Amino acid sequence: MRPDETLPQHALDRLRDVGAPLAEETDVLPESPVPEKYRLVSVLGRGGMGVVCEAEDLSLGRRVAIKLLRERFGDSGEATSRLRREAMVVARLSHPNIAAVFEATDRYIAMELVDGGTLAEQPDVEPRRVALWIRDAARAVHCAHEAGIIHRDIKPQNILVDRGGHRVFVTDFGLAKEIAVDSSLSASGRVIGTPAFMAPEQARGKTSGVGVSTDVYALGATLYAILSGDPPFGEDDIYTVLKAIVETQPAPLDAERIAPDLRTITMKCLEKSPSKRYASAAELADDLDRWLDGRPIVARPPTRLERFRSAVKRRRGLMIGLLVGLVLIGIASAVLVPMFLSQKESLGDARRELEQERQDKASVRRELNLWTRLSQTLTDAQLAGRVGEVEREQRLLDEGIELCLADLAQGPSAKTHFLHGKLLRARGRISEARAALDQSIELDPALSEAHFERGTLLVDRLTELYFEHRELYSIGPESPQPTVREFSSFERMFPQVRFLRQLAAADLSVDLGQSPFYRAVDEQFGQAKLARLIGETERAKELFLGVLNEEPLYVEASLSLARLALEEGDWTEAVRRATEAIERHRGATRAYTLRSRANLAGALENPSGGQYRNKVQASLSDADRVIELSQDDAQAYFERGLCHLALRDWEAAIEDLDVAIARDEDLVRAWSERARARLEQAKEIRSDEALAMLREAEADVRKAFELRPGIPRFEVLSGRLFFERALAEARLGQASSESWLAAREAFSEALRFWPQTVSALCGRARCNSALTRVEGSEGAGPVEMLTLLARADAKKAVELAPTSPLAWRATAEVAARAGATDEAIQAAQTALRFLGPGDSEKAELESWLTELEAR
Amino acid sequence: MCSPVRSLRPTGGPKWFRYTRHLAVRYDIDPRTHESFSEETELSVNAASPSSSGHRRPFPTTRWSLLIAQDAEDERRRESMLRLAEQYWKPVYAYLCQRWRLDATEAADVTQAFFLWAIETELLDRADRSRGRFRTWLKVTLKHFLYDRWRAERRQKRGGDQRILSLAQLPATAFDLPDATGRTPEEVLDSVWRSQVLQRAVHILEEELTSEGRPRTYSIFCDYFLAEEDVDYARLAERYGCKSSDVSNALQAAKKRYRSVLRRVIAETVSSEDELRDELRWFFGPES
Repeated sequence: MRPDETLPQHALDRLRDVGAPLAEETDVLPESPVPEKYRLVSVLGRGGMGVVCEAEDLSLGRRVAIKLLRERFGDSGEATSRLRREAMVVARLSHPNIAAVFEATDRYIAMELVDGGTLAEQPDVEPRRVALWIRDAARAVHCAHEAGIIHRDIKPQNILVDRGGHRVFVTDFGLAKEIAVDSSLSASGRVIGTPAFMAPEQARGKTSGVGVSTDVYALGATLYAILSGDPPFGEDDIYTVLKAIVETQPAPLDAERIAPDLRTITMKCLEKSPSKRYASAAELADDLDRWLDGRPIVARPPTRLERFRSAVKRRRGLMIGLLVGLVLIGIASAVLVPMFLSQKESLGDARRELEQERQDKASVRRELNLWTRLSQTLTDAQLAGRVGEVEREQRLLDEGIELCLADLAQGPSAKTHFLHGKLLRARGRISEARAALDQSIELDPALSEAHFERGTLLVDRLTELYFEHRELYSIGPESPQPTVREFSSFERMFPQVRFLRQLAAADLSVDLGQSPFYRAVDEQFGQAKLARLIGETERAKELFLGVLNEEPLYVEASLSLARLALEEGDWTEAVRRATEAIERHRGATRAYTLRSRANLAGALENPSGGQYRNKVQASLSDADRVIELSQDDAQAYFERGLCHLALRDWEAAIEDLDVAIARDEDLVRAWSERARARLEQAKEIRSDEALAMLREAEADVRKAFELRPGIPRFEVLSGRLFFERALAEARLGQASSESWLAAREAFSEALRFWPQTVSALCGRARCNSALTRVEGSEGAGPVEMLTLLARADAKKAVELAPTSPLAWRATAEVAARAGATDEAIQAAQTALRFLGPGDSEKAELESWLTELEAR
Repeated sequence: MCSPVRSLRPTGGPKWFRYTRHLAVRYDIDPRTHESFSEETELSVNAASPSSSGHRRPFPTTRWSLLIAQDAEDERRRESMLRLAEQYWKPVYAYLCQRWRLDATEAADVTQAFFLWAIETELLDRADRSRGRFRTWLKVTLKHFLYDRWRAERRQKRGGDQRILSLAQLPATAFDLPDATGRTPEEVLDSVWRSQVLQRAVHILEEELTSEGRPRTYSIFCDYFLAEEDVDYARLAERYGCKSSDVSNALQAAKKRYRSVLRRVIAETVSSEDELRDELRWFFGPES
């Protein structure tokens, strides 16, 4: 076959089918960084960060398993340290049921090879065998606990079996933590591990509770999963699972196949309250041993009374209240009792100090009370949002805000202001949030949480501002774009933006330390935003991806990626990322907004494309959803207005833009877009009313100019308005040169900003050409010059945008007026060719062409 | 008669001052405070920049990775780019025909100009690692070229008539394009890209099998997969005078070989294992 021969479609289809298995290939050996003494044999499995291969140790002639980092994590410090940590953890443990580590570096771990697959892959095992396996696994886990290590990710996939099915090995200590050092990563809201096998305390992101009993729970969940075939709460939808783990009881195990005592043992592991589970993995192993030996077990099935109690206890408000009370009594006695015992020289001093202590205590109590309640509120709200219970989420947040306000009524507190700000932001009340955070920082400049929250808030606003700026300066898809699209040039134009950027950067550079409100992954997210802010887009992307890899539920990261893609003009990727965010958080208003924008931008890029309508419709339905979610948001109405504009539904567009303007008078684009909608509507009406409508549009543009002077597209818009007015006046027999001249000046002004604005060139060409025929326009210049100018503009427009119907139409009109009928006919035909099928100008142009041909 | 309005622009007052106030209200920025912001902030921003550590990259060197390597010599980059251009000129050509509605000659000219430009001028600045795969880079750069450079280039080069690809010697059929109605230029580019890759792999398969002295295996592969009519093993066995199990074996071997060639061809346009995996998934994924 010749290299340039073109194969027919059917052959290409068949070739593609032949190649298709390549897309699913998983057994490709990575080009490995392991030394030559190992020869990689095959891939055993792939995980999020690593690949496990079977290899031959050539120096010793034995087979080993080698865990490698996937290439994309090769340079990530996080992944490397996780690998090294795993090696160090396992190296400390010597147990027959933990695979031994032979050698480890930053790039790989070589360890004992276990080749019977994971527990998840074992077909129909009888309950006795399962109990044996879990007993051995529990002993291994207990060994780790004794060494001060919590596994945190026990599940069937992480327990391997040897080929005979006799011996199990607990593996994957990648998430393991040392009990003593464990506080940094265990803050509220962080979800570590695999959802289906997570203990309730882990699912809630509680940190204080994660410990030995968390692993006991996971062992029980594993036992349950192998016995019944499914994890205790299924595994289909991650949010439903998390919610169920916290709130409901697992379905009872099959009573016919599984002995009552084994069921009781399993259920004891799965108790919601850690204190009711086995106190250690060893106790679980012992009880399984008793059952295997036919002796009576220790665990008891719950009595009726207990079942009732547990039902009551699930209403956890009461519990928390009690807990807080207990903590307070503890604190009070620790502080008060020694104080009363101590002797004071002066009674006055003692009294003053007592008063001081009392006040301190009161504020400690206040804070503790609030932090406890609000951290719960935030977690609950987040969970509600994820599963799509938006109303509940909003209600919870509002309650939290009320609590803050009530607290602040007792006096200012930096921490309360911070919480207030955080809640307000979550509720979408951004300006108020900013104010609250500023207050918090003013009261206590060392409160790193407030800085961090404000930093991320500022980055969001900056990107919004930048987006608006870019949109304002975009001058239609047909023209080559001016360079203001770059962030740096944007910043050069506005010193305030630089200030804002610096403030955000400083805020995000704080060390969060150990905060109950932020996690390590939040800090990484902050770093990503910072990178983005200082223009390191690629690094930001990498960091955002790292965050997502660490915690797939991190919706904000998906959103940031969507926004970046949107800025880069990669609409498909933007849609994909926004959809990802929506799937993970049904109430994510911004995700719908971003997807709506991406679809709309994708459609407008190619208005004559077959997908145009579908894309705009998709955008519209997202915009609907945003309005539904955030009822009083002006921006939401504005975005929907844009969709209606794209669908050429001027009435609906004006209606939405009216609402947007009523809610936020400063929304500059709403004014200009309403003017555009009115202009288009006026063009379609063509009666006396058109003039009135154009006047309304003019008022809109004037308002837009007041808000943002110097925007070239407003000049183009006013040019078009005057142009239409001139036409309307001519139709009504009121022709004058006034409107033509005004239009020409507006177009010229736009061209002073950006000489390559195609629409302005066309507009000016048509104005000059029209002026050659208007009486009383001598002041505009001699006819020959006007014609020359018009032809020059039209020619430049066609050169800049050879496929723009606008440019060809202007050429046609100018040529016709100059008497070059043939050229005019040709240009009009070209314009018709480039006009989309549904374009309203088509009919008009066609009739004009017929008229021209008749001459 | 309407009032003689000459402009909707507001008169009087410096523009930027007004905008500054608008910004202050709308984005909670007090325009006065930015003056008082200290140099310290800049420092902390710089302190937060990354310190990238160089690691050995395990993915084999490909044309594309060679091209975007930081330390490659210009000459080798040029060479790589030229080879890639020879293989992938057609998707670019198809894109131009669709997006700019150029006729065949003009589209071929612009294609030449684009690759020439990529090789001679902007390449070293633009083809950096961050751009990802060759296909992605091609799309972005092409758009950029069209918007910013082409006209300027054309004015300069008019009559210069530089050519880097010998398109003129190709048969007319080499410029055939698939039906593009209802598709965006990007979709056309992708679709032509796919067929180029599939065809190139067939071409390499032929070269390799022939040089290994197995022309019959290739011939059976073509008869079975590329011919218009469907043939079964028995008819092929008859045609080649062998057993039908031989035909089956030859086809298995050719298929396997084709897959591996295809993988190599695609790998030439990416620079890492993960990118390759993504690209393969895209390649065989649904055509959008």
